[in-house]
Amino acid sequence: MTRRSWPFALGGTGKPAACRLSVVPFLACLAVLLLASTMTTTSGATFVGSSRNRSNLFAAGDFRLQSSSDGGFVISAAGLRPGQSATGTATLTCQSDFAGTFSMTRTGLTDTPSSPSLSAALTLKIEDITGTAQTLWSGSMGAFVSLALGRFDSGQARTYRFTVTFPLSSAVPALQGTASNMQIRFVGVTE
Amino acid sequence: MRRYQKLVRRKWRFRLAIGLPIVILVILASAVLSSGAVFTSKSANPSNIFTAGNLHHTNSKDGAAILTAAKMKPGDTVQGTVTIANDGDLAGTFSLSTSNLSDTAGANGGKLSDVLKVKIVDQATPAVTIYDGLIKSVGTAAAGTFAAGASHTYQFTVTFPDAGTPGTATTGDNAYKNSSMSIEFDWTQVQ
Repeated sequence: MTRRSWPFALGGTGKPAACRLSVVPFLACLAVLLLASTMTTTSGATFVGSSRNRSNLFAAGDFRLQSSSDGGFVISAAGLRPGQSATGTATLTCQSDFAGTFSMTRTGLTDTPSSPSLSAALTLKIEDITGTAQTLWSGSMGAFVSLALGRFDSGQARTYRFTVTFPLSSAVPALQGTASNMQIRFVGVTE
Repeated sequence: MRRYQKLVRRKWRFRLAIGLPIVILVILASAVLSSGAVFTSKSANPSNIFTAGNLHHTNSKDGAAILTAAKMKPGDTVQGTVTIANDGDLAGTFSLSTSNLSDTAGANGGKLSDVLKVKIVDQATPAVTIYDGLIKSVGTAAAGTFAAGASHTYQFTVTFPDAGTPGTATTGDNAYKNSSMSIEFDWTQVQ
């Protein structure tokens, strides 16, 4: 009877079984040797050191403008008679972590009807009345565009008075029953 | 098969009969030769000592922040420096990475790490910028190779870029009001 070697055996078929080398154990041994060799190469062959710089903290500040008129101001001139004036005040407070530069800007102007224009006939005076009253702007209401209010320190507040006047010299019959409405917005920018 | 086994046993008996006396003779001869019948001379090279090198570095602000900033506003810049010294006895290749990034958004929802930039400069001569970009995207920056005993000082500059006047109270740079972030800088030294 002819003994047939296991299909995965190396060595001659005539040799004793002890002399034959199976492929699977051989490859397993080879894999272990390769693994050991790799570990020797990569483990402990390099020293490593480390250090840390923790808690590098960055925080943005807060910048808020508090206005007694909620960020804007509406000058409404309706029902004014020639020679009459109407006033209103607005207080701005820089509720911020830092100083800022503030301004007020006209964001809307509506004349009803558009012609003749009541805003062209009215005058507007803007004063800083925080201390001694100081006029910042004066002229035709329709000509107002914007006004720089300067620097506010953190926490600083200023009060402004707006006076709208219907000069007698501007009174013409065509302006009877007309109205004018202007929106002013306060803006703060960090320095 | 039995015949083959018999042949093998006979072969081994024959080999033992011849080989065993020879082995005994060799052992005896060795004992005689080493029993003081000849002069001997010795010399020694003792204390062949091998020590592993020491890979180590110091961090001038180890465990602490390199820089912090509170109440930042667009356009602000803050700087800090750290000195890394290779105080081991091996040259080392250094790298810088970041970890433990955490953002706390303010009321308007902006994450400060989305806009803060950091520039890291090795203040060598000439200076070498090892990173310049968003603080959250440092990844791993190569910080150079130092000889044993050498030290390098790195300057960190964190900037809150000014993106211009925001369109509304909650968009643009206003989105980052009252936001904060924290980050860790990690130094790694490899031989």
